[in-house]
Amino acid sequence: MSTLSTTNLKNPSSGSNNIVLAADGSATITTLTGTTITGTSVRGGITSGTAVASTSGTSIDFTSIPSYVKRITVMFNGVSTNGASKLRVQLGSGSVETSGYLGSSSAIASASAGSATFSSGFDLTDSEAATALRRGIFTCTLLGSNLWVLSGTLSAQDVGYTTVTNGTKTTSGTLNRVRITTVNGTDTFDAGSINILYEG
Amino acid sequence: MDRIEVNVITGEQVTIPLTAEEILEIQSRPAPVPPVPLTPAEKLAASGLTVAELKALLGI
Repeated sequence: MSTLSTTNLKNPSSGSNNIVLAADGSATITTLTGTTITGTSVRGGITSGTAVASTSGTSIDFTSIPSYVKRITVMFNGVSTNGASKLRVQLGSGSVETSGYLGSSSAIASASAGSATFSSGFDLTDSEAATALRRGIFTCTLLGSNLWVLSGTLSAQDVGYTTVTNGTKTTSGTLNRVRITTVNGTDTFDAGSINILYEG
Repeated sequence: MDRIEVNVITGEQVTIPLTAEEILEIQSRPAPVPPVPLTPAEKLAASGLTVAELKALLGI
């Protein structure tokens, strides 16, 4: 098989290059729909991270999230810890940021409801039972200028709770990591799995 | 205490022991405030029942 060496490919009728080949081996492909592909990162598409068994550790960090990302979906599948501290989601740019979160979280059960605000992370109000198995998703969407808007719900069927959380956080720079931990920081994950999707 | 770190590009997953500084920060966090018990009046209000409805329910 022979190799065609060139830097740009275009249709004769196109006003710009359809494919640009960079010296580092990456390619930028521009289509009518605006989809571009650069290196191994597919922009305009959804990329799945690697699912993590949330069965150990006091926090789980998803790192190296690409700079072009504009939406992140965090998925919880039967996630539990060995204590009663709330789950906490934090964002970071280089390192995880522990302040500047605005919003609140409510827990709804068949006969009661409760709500709490947060500031050190997106703290997910729920039954706060060690046996709770949380299922659901949270999305973090980039509004602009490093301002991220979070919204999501979790259910804990076994303890009869649904959690609704909304908030915002402006990161100090371009977001590149998401942490899932607990408010007290000492409870250990003991069941379930967590993964993220990212897109931009 | 350990942190699990997953690189979303490479899929590499590593378990990292927390540093002494991180453990100190965790230990310095304030203890959660226990919820304040509801008063009987608040419990009644939360139930959505009026005093008259409660009396009728109890037959008094």
